[in-house]
Amino acid sequence: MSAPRRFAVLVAGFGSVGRALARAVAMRSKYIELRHAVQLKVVGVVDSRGAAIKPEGFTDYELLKLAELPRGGVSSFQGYGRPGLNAAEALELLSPDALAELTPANYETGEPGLSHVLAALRAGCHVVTSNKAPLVKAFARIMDEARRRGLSVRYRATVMGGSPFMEALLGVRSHEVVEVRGLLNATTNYVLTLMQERRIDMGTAVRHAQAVGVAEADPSLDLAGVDAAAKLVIISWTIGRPIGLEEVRRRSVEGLKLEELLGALARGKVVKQVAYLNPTRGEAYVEPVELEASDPLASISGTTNAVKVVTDATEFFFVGKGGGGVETAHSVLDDLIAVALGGGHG
Amino acid sequence: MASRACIVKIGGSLLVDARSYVESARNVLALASRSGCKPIVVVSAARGVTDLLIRASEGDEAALAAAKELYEDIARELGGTLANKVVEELGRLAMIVRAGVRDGATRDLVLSFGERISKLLMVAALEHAGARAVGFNADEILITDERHGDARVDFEMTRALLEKAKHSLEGPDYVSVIEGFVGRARDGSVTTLGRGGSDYTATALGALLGCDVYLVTDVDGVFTADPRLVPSARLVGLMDYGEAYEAALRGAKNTNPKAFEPLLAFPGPDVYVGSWRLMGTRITGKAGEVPEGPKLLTLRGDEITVIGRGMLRSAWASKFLESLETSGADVVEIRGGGSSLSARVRYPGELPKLLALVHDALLPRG
Repeated sequence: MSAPRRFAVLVAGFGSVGRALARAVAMRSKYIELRHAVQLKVVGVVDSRGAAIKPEGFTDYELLKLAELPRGGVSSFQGYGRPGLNAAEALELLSPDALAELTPANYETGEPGLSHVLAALRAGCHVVTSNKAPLVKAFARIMDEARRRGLSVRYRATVMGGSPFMEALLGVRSHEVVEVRGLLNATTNYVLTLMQERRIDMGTAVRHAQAVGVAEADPSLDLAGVDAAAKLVIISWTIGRPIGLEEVRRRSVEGLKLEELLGALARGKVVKQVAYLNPTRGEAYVEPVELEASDPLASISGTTNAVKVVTDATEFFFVGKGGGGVETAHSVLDDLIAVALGGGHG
Repeated sequence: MASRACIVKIGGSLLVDARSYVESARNVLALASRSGCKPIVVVSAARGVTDLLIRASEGDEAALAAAKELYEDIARELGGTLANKVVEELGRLAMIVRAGVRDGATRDLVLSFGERISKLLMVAALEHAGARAVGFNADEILITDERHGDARVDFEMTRALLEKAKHSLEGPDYVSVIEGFVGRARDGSVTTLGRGGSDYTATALGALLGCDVYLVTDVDGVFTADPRLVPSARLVGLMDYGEAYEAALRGAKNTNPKAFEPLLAFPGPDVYVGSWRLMGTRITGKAGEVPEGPKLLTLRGDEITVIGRGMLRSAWASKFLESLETSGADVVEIRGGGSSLSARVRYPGELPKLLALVHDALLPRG
């Protein structure tokens, strides 16, 4: 048994995914060390107001206490807080092995995530991300930088955050992907399922989704299909047939009325927001669609995601959890372990 | 701190205000040091909160406000960063109630705040008492079936999670605190474990981790009969799992029999029941350690039950029936099994009087 390989990580972004990651590392560190011979150390955490840094790596206890801090509070962490310190500065101070980029997506500018990712690569750090925006804005540029430096960029947590879907997609690299069709947004699927099952209007369903943490305070990116569209873009780059976010035709579910959904149900159909990509035809959309009840996607409910992938050699249907904080954090953790063990490009 | 872990469950009757949280915290530390074990604390909701949240889950704004005020007051008094977290959680609770969706899953989610916030307060109280403490989330560790309101622990899944979380939960230099009564179903929804659910959480953790359990409440242990009905009732010093399960089944001490299922499935730990002052009753799984014979009696409606290993043996059974007859009761129906024997009776006087007579006959002092 080889001696465990020490792997230092800087975490940028400390919302629900960041906190869940800190907790997951704390609770699984021994298991990871024993099973994979990797000693994962979080050496810094950066949020919108500053950072907490510890070059030797936070202890399990410290990680659990960090996760208890109020939002924007890491710089007040006893003894290790650095108010105002940003991710680029932290990267320079710590020279970690990897950056976990978990800040919120901004599809206009890609910031602050894009700067974080590029700064990390330039500093010689691998990158693991759950933030789609940098990849949507600058996939090729990021991968070039990574390739030139022999670094890994992994992003399994960006699509179907609770499941290893990207692995499945990467597993068919010798195939030509003909069609990708599925339900890629947990929030929207949850809201539509709730409306149809409980016969409540969208306003109530969204408020409930927000209350239980499945929808953001501003759910428009999810409901309008931007999140799902971003995922299609990432999928398109991954299969080598890239499209831009603006090429994805979108129709929001926000306009849907309960009567319409119930009307569809009465005709034996289920309304879902379907994400579709056909690289050969150059067609991509995220739109509410009336599905036959027999369509496998029709029975996918709540926050579950599902995708059917058709290639020129095979097809598979992948069902899994969408990105809750804990599930996404585990995907990030798995990507970190993969990089530590010497995994290659995303 | 000691290397061996123990589960210490604190009942809601002991958690009333900031002072009592800190007092309980100090008592946990004292108990742990006396027993030489590293405590994993399981907390119930503060007294009265669960009932308030049940009403809140039905839309009762006044009940919601009362629960919020209760917890806000305690948080404010305890102070620290966790106080802010409590306020954040209470805000979330209000959002969920006001969103207006009423179903089993949402109800469970609303109820879970009672224990979850109590956990945050206990962590703050322990830190107040000078210890290091960390909160763990029951919904990340305790996996259950989907039966909202009365869920059953999925031992396989939970054991798998505990395997990995074990070294964190049993961390040597801090006290772990986890909320009782709450779990998570495979579909991701939060579940609650039913009446007495915190006891069930405690025994499930104890059984799966293989460590002793302390169920701390406001009485010194399990009594040979309800002391309010039988003045000569005294503490049952030692019982076995089967007896404890049957006692709970027959209505003793308001314990949910579910709490003993984990121990019957994964025997090993001792369960101590009592108060901070005295852990008066030990419940053991070791075969043969507990002698046969009656341990306690319960009265439910017109049925008197005597609990004890071997009660179905003719010597004990006839003693029971004899004492009923001698006391002037007519036995209408008998049933029994395992470690209990029950008799439905017709009695010309007050049933508690009959209970006391039978109690004194079967369990004479000295």
